[in-house]
Amino acid sequence: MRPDIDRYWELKSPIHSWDPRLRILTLLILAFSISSAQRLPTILGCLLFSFLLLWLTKIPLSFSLKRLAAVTTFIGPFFLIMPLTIKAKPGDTIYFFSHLKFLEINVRGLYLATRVYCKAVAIVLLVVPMFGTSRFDTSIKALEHLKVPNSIIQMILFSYRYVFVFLAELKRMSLAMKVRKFTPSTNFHTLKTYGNFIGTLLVRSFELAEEVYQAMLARGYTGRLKIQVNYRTKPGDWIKSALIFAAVLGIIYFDRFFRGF
Amino acid sequence: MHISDGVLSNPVCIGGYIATVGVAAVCIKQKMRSQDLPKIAVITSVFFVASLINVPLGPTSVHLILPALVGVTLGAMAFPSVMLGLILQALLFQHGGLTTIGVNTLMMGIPALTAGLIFHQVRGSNSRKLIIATGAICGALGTLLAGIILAVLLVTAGENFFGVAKVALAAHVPVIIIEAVVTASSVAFLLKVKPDLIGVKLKNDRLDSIVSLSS
Repeated sequence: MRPDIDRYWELKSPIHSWDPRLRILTLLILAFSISSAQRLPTILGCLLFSFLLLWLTKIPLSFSLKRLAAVTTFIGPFFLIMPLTIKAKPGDTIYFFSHLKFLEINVRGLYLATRVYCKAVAIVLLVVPMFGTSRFDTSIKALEHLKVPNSIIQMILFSYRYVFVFLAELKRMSLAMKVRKFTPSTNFHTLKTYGNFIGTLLVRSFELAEEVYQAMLARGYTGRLKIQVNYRTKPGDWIKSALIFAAVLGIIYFDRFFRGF
Repeated sequence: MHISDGVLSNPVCIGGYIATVGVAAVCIKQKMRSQDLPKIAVITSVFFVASLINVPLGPTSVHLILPALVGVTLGAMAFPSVMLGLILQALLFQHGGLTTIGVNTLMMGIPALTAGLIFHQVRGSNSRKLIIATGAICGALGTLLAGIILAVLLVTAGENFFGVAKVALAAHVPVIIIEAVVTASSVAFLLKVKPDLIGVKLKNDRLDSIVSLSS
């Protein structure tokens, strides 16, 4: 996967036109409210709401769905582990095989894993409306207005820029290794080669960092980064945030107090 | 292995954020000079890229996490570096999660700082073998610590997650060996090529003898 979360920043949509400062803060609060949800119906509602926000951004769904790979590899095993390991409670449905006494499959485990997975997906999908709808540097610079220190903003932006440089370097070096008939497998030689590989990357990066720093000094770097971005909050932005806050309250109310059906 | 959203409770996630901001602030206030800023950023992106390397392990593969090497190269600045790396991973790749950036930083940053401290003890040494062996120990210990913190965090999610915590800890065992070997060979490489990157000043006997021969 390519690290270009902001590939579709030039589209026009209600989310794209939302002030990045309000957008990030509001959606972060939404993420935490989803994280606090306990009941499956609420969580499924949150999931639908995340998809609704995604649909509003007009960003192709496949772009966002590909971003679920990491969550799925982390939580996927839960579906296997939890039914086998959770403690049985009265009222649980348990399947077991007569000749394998230790292998008990608790259906509540599947239910719990589903709950965790849906919650995770609902939150992860929010990253696309949050950071995919304006240029990455604009989004990060907006964090400065949310009281994130300038040094952190600078480092995020530098690292972001050099991630692409080193990804290209990584590709070039792996090609060079392939040409020399290197095939990774589970052995000492592979690990040692990777160790040297990372060492090489580090040495190169260190030299590059020095040069970059000198070049920055030559251009008048004083320890602060100045990016001119004019953020404007329009009345419509407050309305959008107010709508999301209504959803946040709805999630909390529905999760804690609503016992209708 | 990064904890994703939706597993841990909100108090744990928010507590993780507060602890991370606190530790990072202390590290930055204590040690950072403005000329370090680009350096930390560039090295952070190397670790970001290195963590994308998949090492084959039997039928599956694991990706490198390298907290120990971050600690060895950056010392106290390893913690902010880990934090940056995880912010970028969460935002660009959705590795880990939004609400769990804090706890994930603690999970990787504490091992990084520990490895940095241990490695600092052998900086003055003149023995290659000792330094490389310390690199291996740091790599193993860093991964073990990360695994233990992961398991403890999962346990806070309630007794339903005890089984997951045990499996997660067990899954770290092969990674401990991998990380130990990779960290040791990276340290060995840097020792040969650019020892000042890991803060070591070796008296190079061979080089000295060549210089004395030519003069």
